[in-house]
Amino acid sequence: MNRIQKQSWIIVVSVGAAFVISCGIVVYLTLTAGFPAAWKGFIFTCAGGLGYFPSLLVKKDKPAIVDERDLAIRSLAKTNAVRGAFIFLVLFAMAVFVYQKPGNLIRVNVLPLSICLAAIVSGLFESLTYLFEYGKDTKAMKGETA
Amino acid sequence: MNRLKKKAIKDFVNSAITAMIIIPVFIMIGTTSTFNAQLRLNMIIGGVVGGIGSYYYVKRVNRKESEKFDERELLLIKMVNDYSVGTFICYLLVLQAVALFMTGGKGTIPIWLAFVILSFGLFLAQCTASAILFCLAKEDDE
Repeated sequence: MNRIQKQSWIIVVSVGAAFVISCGIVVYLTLTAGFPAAWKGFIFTCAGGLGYFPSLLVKKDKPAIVDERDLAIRSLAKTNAVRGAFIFLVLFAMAVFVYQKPGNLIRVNVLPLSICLAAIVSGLFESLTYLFEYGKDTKAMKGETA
Repeated sequence: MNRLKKKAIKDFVNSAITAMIIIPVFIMIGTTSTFNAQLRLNMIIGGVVGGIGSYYYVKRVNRKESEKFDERELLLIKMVNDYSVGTFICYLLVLQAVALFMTGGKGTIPIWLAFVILSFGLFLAQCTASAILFCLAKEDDE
């Protein structure tokens, strides 16, 4: 497992854990306070972004050789990250539009919140692409069909 | 005029036409009182689904076109795409900061503005990509 895979696992686990915890908080708030107050529980998903900091502490690989395949995987991961973030922003805007009535006003704080969440989603997509692509290569090395 | 310049102009014209259609439609949906809530909702959902469908159509056409380009041209296109993504991110960050400063921490914005922001961001990103590609394309390299 190389450095990028370790970093990807850290980010995937932190974002996944934060999402599961925030779902739990939403369920708890639904039972105690009800909607729309329960939506605030999803704010805890932003805590998944904290996984970025421990991923910086992963040691660098000793023979730091980067071949063309690595560059292609990085390029694909960046593209998928941007796609994921944009699709998230569109879905987020639609969700707000559907949940609130059209023509209503929303708090301006939603804008930075949506950008933070889009950044986390892009990190998640990037990490998943790394894991998927390097996972395929590992399978191929073991003699299985990639 | 070489292939890259033609591509830059074609992409810019396509995005300008799309923006000229989509942005007024979103503004009209948001501000005109003749539409009721359900109709506005249907129009927005139809617009987004249509947008995603047209995106995949354009992507398919572009994939066929990209087979004509050589490695240097593909590298330039990739670099330009990176710049356009950077422009889009900077635009979003600047815009949300401006919105926060203009309305204050407890201010409000209309919901339909989110779609206008995204549509205009895409147009701005494509403008940047086309402008850089136009500048980087060498003349008569065919």
